[in-house]
Amino acid sequence: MNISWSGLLFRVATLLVFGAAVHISIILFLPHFAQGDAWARLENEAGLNRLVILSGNGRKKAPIAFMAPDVRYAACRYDLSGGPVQLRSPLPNDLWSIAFYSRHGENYYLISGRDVQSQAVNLLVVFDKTIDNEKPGERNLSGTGNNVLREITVSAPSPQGIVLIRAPVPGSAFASEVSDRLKQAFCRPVVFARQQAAAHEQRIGKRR
Amino acid sequence: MKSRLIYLINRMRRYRHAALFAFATRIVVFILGGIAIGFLSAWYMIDRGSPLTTTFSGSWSLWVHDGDVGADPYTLAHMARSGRLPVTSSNALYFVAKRDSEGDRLAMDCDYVLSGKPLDTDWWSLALYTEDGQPVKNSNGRSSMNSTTVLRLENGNYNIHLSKQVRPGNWIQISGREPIIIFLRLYGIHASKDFSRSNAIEQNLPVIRRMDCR
Repeated sequence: MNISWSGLLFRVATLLVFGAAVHISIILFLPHFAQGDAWARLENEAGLNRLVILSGNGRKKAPIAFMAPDVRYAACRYDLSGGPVQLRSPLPNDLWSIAFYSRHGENYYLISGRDVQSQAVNLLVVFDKTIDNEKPGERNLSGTGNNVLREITVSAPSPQGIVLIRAPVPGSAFASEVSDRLKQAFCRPVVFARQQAAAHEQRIGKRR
Repeated sequence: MKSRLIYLINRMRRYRHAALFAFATRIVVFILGGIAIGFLSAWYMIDRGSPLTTTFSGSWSLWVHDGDVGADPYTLAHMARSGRLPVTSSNALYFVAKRDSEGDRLAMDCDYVLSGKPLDTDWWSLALYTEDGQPVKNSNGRSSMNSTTVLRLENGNYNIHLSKQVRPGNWIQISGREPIIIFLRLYGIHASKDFSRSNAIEQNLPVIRRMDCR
């Protein structure tokens, strides 16, 4: 086979262009089709709009890859298509944090104990692009001083995402205290919270 | 005359088939070659990173925009493939080491000493994993060390021993033959975008020296 230099160059260039197209396609599509991303892994742990404390030291595979052994995690996969979701968690010291992720793992909002000087924080996750997370809506629900319960409205960029609470355990002596505090956290649809409040009101009404 | 015509037609057919076969072979080789080039280059840039996405400092690599909103497609693909949920890079940094200071792959059948200097951060945690992201299993159940638990020298520096046999001071047990991945998480990074501060952090990262191998 007799190929001229220009013919060979053309073939190599075409091959490289095709290779580049394959390369770009893989890079762009991988986040949408990855089977082992955090969302897919957490699907096995709990349903939507429920907080689950993750165990990274058990026999089964850790629900998030590379979990820090000296950090306790709790995760909530939220879906805002049925309305806002409420997340409540203690933030007892500077090291605790609550991170909000898009479906593909972009950390669009983070609040830490350093930001909120209170023992607990109530976060209302809404799908409303008019809200600026740099200037979140904030109000005190109850309490005073360090015991104040703050409510902050967080705008999600898409209806589905993940909230991850990180509770570092500085030493083994703190393990049970951190676990106990983490158990106080919860995640639930606001509709459910309202239904519960209505049922509570009804019960009180009946007693009267 | 007729037989000669049939002979010519058959020869043309054979030639056409051969030409078609050669053409089809070339197309298949071209497609497979393109897929191989695209796949291997994508895998390399997602797994190891490149100067576009990653900084390298001794044994340590850092995906600069880990967890950030609007991160580049390579970082997004890297996160999706890894199954991690990193905090945005302005709040935490995740340094990863897969090789020792000589460039050899970290493995559980060798002993190592990690020598580090104080890190300008609220809290750090160093942990050992197998390649699939699970914490290293050992007899004492300790696969990590953090800035609260680490024992320091008088000048604030520290040494962490990774070995099968028990060692005085900071010790994490490793045994077996599997490769290891070390993660160093730095939480409470308030100005990571500040070049001089980031530079100071990178200079104080632990040096991973290999000792004996079994």
